[in-house]
Order: sequence, then structure tokens, then C-alpha cells
Amino acid sequence: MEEINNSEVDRTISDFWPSIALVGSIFGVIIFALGLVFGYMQIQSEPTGAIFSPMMFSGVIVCLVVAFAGIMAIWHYTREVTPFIKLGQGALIGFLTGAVLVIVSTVLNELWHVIDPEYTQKVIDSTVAGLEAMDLPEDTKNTMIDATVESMRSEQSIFSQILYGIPMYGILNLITGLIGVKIFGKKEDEETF
Amino acid sequence: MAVNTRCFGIFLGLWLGWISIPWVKSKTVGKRWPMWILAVAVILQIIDFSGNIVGLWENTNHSRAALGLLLGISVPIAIADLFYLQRKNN
Repeated sequence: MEEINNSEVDRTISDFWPSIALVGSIFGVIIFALGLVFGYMQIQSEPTGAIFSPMMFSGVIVCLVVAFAGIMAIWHYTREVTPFIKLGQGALIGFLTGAVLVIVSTVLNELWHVIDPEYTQKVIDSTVAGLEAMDLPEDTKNTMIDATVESMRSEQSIFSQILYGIPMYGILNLITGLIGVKIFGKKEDEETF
Repeated sequence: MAVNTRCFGIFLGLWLGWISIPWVKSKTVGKRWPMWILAVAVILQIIDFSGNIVGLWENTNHSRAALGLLLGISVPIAIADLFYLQRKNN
């Protein structure tokens, strides 16, 4: 029976962790900082009634930045460990990088609430003030305010940040991890995935 | 989970892209164009979103879905050749 030498590609998860932990931690800090910047921009903004608020930018910008974490983790792995990487390994690294960055940013968010306990309430108040300034029918406005306040409060709990964050950013980085394999990985002469 | 039209386009595109891999494989293996299409699709998303934000134009549900679809399709096609074996020549 033919023996296939997969020594270069049969890696254990312990080989992946340095890249996952490093890149996940860095991006966790970056998205935490971005969230704070947009949060305080929201707090300091005047309620003009405009549809777009700093917090709306926050979600899109954070999502765009986070998408690069999977690619960067693969880049780091291919530089530091081995350039030979399977598609499935890239997906795993990407997913776990997304999970790590969510956990890091969640922990930092919680720590920030110790430094500024009123932060969430100030963001909610500012967002509500912006919604109230909108030129909309009163019923629509009240519905929007209720939904926004409920959504922002629920998003602040550790449980929901992790529950929704890990699948969302994990899958996003799983996909970008696959793209990272395509860009930075090398295939062995004979390989299965 | 609720998604907007752009995300709907992306998810639909991802699905269509995945199921089209067996057919497009012969045209993508060893080629650079799928990555260029992916890069263009990403840049188009950023331009479309930014243009809407700064008021240059107002995008519609159709335009968001179409651009999302392009991005979604381009991802699996870009990595399609990684799903296939490369046999040794010797």
C-alpha cells in the first residue's frame, strides 16, 4: 500500500495556537479600540436627526477590519510555522482567530465598564436623542427607540456578545482564512484536504 | 438571524459559488483572474457603501443585493482550485 508522506501538512492544533492567539488578541484590541472611538464620537455628537450616526459606521468598519484577521492569522502561520497548509486547517485557524478576538474584545469591554460605568447608558442616551431628532411619525419613532434601546442593552451582556460574536466573526474569519490559504499557502505536490 | 439585502446577496452568492465549483474548476485552476474578481468585488462594496454614506448616490435594495451576490460568488470561485488534488508528475 502506498504510503503518503504528509509530515509537512499533518500539524496539531498546538502548532496553530501561536498565530491564532497573537492575531486574535491584536484584532480583539483593535476592534475594542474602534468600538470605543465610535462610542465616544456618538456620545459627543449633536442630535441632528441624520440617518447615519457614528454607531452605524462602527458596525461596518469593525466588520471590515475583523475580516482581515483570518487572512493575517494564515499569513503569520505560513511565515512562522510552515507554508504548507490545508484548506481545512486554514478554516480552523480563521474560525478560532475570530473566536479569540471576540473573547478578547468582550473582556476588554467589560473592563472598560469598570473604568467608565456610565459608558453604555451615555451611548444609549445619545443614540435615542439622535432618533428623537429624526423627522418621523411619532409611532414609528417610538418603535425605533424601543427596539434600539433593547438591542443595545442586550448587546452589552457578556453572554450575548460571545453567543452572537463567535459564530458571526468566527464564520467571517473562516471564509477569510480560506482566502488566506489561497494567497499565502503552498500546496504540496500531492495533497488532500 | 435577520440579514439585510447586501448580506442576503452575499449568502446567496456563497451558496451559488460553492455549488458551481465543479463546473468552474477547469477555468480557475492556476489562474489569477478569480482573485482579481474577488478584489474588485470587495472594492466595489466599499465604494458603494462609502458613496451612499457621503451622499454621492443612493444605493437601492437591488444594487446592494447584486453587489453582495458578486462578492459571495467570487469567494468560493477564488478558492475553488484548493479543493482539488494536484498529482505528482513523476
